[in-house]
Amino acid sequence: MKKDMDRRSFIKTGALLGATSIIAAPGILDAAKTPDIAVVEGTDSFASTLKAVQKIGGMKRFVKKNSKVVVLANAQRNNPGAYTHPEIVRAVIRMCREAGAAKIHFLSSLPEANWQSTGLKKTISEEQAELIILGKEENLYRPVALEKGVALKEARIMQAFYDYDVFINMPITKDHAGNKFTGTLKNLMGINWPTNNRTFHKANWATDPEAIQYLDQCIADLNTVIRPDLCIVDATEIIITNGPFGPGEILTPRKVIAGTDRVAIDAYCCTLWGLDPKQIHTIVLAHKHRIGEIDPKKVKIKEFKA
Amino acid sequence: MMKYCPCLLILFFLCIPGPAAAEISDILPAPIAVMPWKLSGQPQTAPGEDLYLLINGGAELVIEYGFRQAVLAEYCHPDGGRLNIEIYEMEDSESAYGLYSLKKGRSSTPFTVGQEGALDDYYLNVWKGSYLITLTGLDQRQETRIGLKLLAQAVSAKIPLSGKPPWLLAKLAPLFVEKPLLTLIKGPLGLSNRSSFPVNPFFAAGTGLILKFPESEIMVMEYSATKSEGEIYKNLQEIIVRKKDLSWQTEQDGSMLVQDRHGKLFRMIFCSPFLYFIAGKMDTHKLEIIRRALEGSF
Repeated sequence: MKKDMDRRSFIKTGALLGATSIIAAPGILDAAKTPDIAVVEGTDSFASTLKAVQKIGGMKRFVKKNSKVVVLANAQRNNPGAYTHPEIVRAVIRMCREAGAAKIHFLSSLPEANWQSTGLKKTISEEQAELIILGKEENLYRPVALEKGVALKEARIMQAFYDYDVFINMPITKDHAGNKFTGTLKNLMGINWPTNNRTFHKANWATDPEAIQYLDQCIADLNTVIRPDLCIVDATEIIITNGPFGPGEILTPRKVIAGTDRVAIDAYCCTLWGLDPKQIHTIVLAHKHRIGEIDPKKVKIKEFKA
Repeated sequence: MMKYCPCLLILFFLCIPGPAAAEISDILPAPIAVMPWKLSGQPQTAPGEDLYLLINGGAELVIEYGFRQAVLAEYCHPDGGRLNIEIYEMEDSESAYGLYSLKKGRSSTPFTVGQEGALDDYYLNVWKGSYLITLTGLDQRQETRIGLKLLAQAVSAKIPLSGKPPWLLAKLAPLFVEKPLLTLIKGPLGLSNRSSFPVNPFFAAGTGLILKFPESEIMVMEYSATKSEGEIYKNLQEIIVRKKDLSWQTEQDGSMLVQDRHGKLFRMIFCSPFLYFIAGKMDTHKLEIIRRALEGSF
């Protein structure tokens, strides 16, 4: 559940942020020891986020001075376990600012009411970042040909997205009624035109079970033309039934995950509630597209306590 | 006594369920019925495929069950409590029950409201007639938990009573002392969400009931009675044979033992008009109880 930042917490988080900045200065971290994916477990989501990013090289590895950062968080619904935790968002904004970002914007085609009711709008405003709500008009979305697309041949990406230097993908991982799982790969539907997203659902899905997998293929195809610079996943309190909207059974792994390999991250996340990544079609198909690594043995995943 | 009559009359009329609402937002409770809870902002409504605009990818599953329209609203309490309410009008009471059976939690406790209610840790699902009502507490305050029940009762009072639990469920639910988790299935999404059976090839426009026991899972699928037993079974065999990710063998008793590529095993038995699937521990005793109950109806 949300909590407001009180003065004591503010001082504590400021100290944590400062410590992270010193440790993450370029040249200090050993590349050989840096994990591909950092998983931090703890009750303080803000602190866990700082540590997760610090462990993979710090925000300055991704955000250069004066860069313009766009963030894609999940504000789908304010049911518990269904949206990105505001304190994780707060930590990311602070780290971006500390790294010297000139702009930190959250782009969304979801109604502002969603951002308000989840508390995310308040957090973004408090941290002096900006929430930009885009309409659903076709001219706001750029057609992008998918040369490697198997099912999806053209995506329609937010035109505004191309004005930024850095893209941070911030999903919450959770159950999804359409394809059993959602994480970094599926979150990217958030910058695709909603009308185009609807085409991911085949008309005959209700009578042809094969058609369900069309959605997975489209998601994998979409991921061939967008590459986040950094993924930070909320796995603190998540719904594992009745997703993506909830309400559903809540699992509390209390983890924040940071990395760049979407396939590897999602393959890790789905195991949190006992799923096999090789049975999650989106992950398998994205791996086939060579978007990332599905075999955990080939990825350096390190777990930490906050 | 006479001076109380008008008040009693008003109370009486407030309690009578009205006819099915043309506007689904009419079913939201009257402010007086849920005080001090108040509607926060504007309710959002969605007919048909507009449901995608409200709940994105979650819409498919609702539509699979047979959906008409929905309303979503948020309520708040003066002491800070907040809750969400979602009301789904489905095509009929079987559709509404099906969605209810899917959405209620695995460890929910019965709650007396509507025709059936299921109370979970922070949310409550209610089935009444062609409607499913889902209430979600957005905090852990005691008043929010009370608010879930208050709003559920107020909304339920406005919905006409209609329909009965689906036939399959009514027949099978009372059979077992150790109550299984029962989910009514009307499509491949519901099947993939609630069972360990591979979706292919078992969904062919029918209605299914999944009975989940601690060590086994039995699914009963009902198909059209217009096809002969041999025809349906043959169609299924052909589908299974075509599927490269399934292997199978026919058993001496006529059943099929099927294995998917992940090694999951299940048995399929056909006795017109029902198809039975068992996964997990092959509990033939439970299956026999179900078969006798259903075949005794024909």
